[in-house]
Amino acid sequence: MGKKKMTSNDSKEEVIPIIEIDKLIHEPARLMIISLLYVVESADFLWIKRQTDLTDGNLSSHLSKLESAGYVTVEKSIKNKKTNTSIKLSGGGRKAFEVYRQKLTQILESTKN
Amino acid sequence: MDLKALEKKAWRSVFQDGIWDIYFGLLFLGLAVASFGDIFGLPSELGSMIIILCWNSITVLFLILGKKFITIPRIGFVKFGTKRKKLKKRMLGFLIFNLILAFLFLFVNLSGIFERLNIGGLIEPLVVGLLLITIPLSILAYFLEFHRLYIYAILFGLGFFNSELLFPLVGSPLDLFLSQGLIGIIVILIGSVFLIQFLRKYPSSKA
Repeated sequence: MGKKKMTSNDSKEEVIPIIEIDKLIHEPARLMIISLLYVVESADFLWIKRQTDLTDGNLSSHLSKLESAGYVTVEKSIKNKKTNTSIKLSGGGRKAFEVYRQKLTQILESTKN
Repeated sequence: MDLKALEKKAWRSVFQDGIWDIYFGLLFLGLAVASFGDIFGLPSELGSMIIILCWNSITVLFLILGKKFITIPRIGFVKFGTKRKKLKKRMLGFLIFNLILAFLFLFVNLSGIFERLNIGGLIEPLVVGLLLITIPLSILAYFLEFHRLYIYAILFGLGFFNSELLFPLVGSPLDLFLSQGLIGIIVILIGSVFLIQFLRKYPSSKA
């Protein structure tokens, strides 16, 4: 039994236009941040900074964008007279990342043919 | 994008500071120090128990304070997800099973079966070390994904066996002190190297 040959119509149906990819997540630094937050429950600003090697300003700016989109929740509290920022991926952010991964995988798969 | 690998890398960053190594080294060194249990003028068993209790309390305090004042200010704080919580439950299950096995062994040992079978001598401290130290620590190493702990588990497990070998040469309690204390000190030194590397790599951050 041979494999089913893919017709040009089949491949057209499977192709997802790259424009549909979530650009907010697709940016490398934000992709790193979201990927890290996807595999943990929550993390503070410093932990993400160390893991991503981003500067304070850069990380802060990317987090603001993700927070504005509702992808992450940022909670600030005072611990031992120091500001502590706890960051968590929101339900919407988690879903958006899963959709992003799915679409990207499909696009990459379709390029193989 | 391998998310599993990313999670593992993040998890393993917990052990890069060497504080866990120093903690285990100190715990084992405590066993060596406890061999001088009679310094209080108390019966040696009671003195040893007091020393172990005090020593272990200080060791646990070192781990907690070390993480709080050395690690977190340098690499930040992270809460891991449900997968790690499930693993923790499974680890506890295995440790309880191991504890039951250890009790069974002690019960069999007390019944005198080993003496009747004439397999005492060096076999007994080897089995004790394996059951009470090597297996539980290996279970911890597996679930914590703390790979250096496998080596420590073997070294610590051989402690009783080594002391039995040293006994004819140096007598008691120096046999215990030398065999277990030396391994404890080696592990503390390994941990210190990791700690120094960590402190150099991650200077204290005010963020």
